[in-house]
Amino acid sequence: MHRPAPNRPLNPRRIGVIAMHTFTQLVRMKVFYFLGIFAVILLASNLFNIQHIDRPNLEGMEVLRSIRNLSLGTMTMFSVVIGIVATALLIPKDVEDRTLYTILAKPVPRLDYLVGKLGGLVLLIFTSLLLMDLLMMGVLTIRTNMVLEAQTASALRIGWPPDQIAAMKEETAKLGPGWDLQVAVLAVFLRAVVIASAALLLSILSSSTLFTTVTGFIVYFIGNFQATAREVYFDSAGVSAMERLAGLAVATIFPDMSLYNVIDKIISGMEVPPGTVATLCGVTGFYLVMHLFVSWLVFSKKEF
Amino acid sequence: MKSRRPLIAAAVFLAGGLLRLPLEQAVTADFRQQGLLSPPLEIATREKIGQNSWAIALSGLRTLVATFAQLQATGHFNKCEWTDLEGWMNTAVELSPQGTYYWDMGAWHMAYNAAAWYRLESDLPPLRKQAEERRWVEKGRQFYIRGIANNPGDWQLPMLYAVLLTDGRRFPDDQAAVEALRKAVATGKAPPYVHRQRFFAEARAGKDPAEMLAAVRSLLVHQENRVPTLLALCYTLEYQTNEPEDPAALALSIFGSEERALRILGDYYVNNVVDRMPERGVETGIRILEGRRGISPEDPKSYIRLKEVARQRLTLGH
Repeated sequence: MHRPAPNRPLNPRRIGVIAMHTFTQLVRMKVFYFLGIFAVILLASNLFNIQHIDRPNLEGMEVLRSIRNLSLGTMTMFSVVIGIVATALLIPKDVEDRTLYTILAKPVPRLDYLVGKLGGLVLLIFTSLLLMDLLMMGVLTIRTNMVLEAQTASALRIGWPPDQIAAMKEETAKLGPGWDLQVAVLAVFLRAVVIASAALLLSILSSSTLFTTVTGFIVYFIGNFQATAREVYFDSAGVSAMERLAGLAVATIFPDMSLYNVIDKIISGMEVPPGTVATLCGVTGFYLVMHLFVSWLVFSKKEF
Repeated sequence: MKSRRPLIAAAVFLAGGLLRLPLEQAVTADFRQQGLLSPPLEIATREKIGQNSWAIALSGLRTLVATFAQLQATGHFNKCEWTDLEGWMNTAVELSPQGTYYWDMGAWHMAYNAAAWYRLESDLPPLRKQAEERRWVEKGRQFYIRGIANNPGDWQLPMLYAVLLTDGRRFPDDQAAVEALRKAVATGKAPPYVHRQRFFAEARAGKDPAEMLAAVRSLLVHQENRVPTLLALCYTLEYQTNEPEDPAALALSIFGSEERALRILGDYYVNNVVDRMPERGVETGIRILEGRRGISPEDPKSYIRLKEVARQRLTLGH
């Protein structure tokens, strides 16, 4: 005999439906238009080519570097903006459209609603980053091949031995498409997830989109000072009690966004060990669960 | 009961914050130790890039701002505004200290471009020209030194620094070049040509020829090391340690054919105006080999003549 499913929270199917609805809702808001801007920025980054410099190992390197820097920088900006603004819109829009009442009138646990909403947003960020990543890798592949050709021709003209040319090509290839960039994109994604979950918590505390957006950006910027605040708290030499307390407050309340700045090192060509990626995923998971849990505590009894 | 929820939420939030405090402190310290996170920015840099850029730089876009700082430097390079260029390159490396490219680019602009500009283009009196040239070469060297200190595992920067220290037109320091190349080799990542560069530097610095010859012979066993400069160095070291009765026969045994011997020794001899490698016996060998081919030293094709021309050009500062 078919029995109705018990109304237990964290039902994957239910969360999936809400997440997909949220994703569709956001896509209809034409957020993907920014991909056009990204493409323009990516193409513009190809123009940063300084004049002939008669050093094969420097030939065209600034172009590869600017493609990496501008692409990942733009991805960071867009993902953070989407993470904050789209989250700030989600619940107020559901209230405005009266969708929220329809959903909550059904046997949908409020936790599932929150997880689904955030899930849809995370899916949107993931899709956006995936598309931007594909664009970046495509442009970088083409451009790296061009740079390698120019470098080789230049080195042969000067008369470099084959092993020197091979070493130069190896170093240049490090700035081309590679797994390191995928790690950087993953770090961009994880940072966006943290800021989106923080924005979700803010939007639960306030029903104003503007307040959530502004506060979300403040949280993001202060989050980048978190390491400094923590140092003020831990390294008490020459620091007053009041300053230590302020440091503690900042370090406790705001998420640490500076941890994700490992992206800078990846762009510089540094290899990130798998343990670091795992640590970042762990930290992100902690924030996600904590923000969701606190959001649910407030949201579960909230009246609309 | 309802009013308790926000209080519980606040308590959970604060407890979570306190729980992650020591963990994140440990992670930050670990990431900094691994070189994955940069140290906090210096105040001077904050002032230079302006408050807006500073905020951006702290928000995960440091390398992006570094790119723009380097583009600014390129703008000053085009206008030969060397002091401004230096300032922007300093900003770029402070924002991205692990970006070896910025260190190399900055040092190259200062030691090569700025120094050459003061030598060739500036309207200063001769003594001031020379002083400025030397000052900018020194700035370039210091830039490389800082870059090497910030990137201890990198082989490229010490190698490029050694190239600068070796340059005959830029106040060479052969002993320092040897040290720099030893540092590059010590990273364990340097390709074979850097090992060869180290031998060349040691030869310039006057290392014992017999010892050098043994090392060069062991290098030449590997096919990838049989490059013209090392073969020519082998010839001159053989000549120094045991002067041959027939230099042409020695050249033939090393280079395989007289034609090849003349070409390689000739290029080595002409390039040595700048390269400053040991060259005992090279001129003798060239004269004998050219004589056998009917080329007189006054002939425009003669390497003896070509070296004279190269020397004159260098004296004139071309």
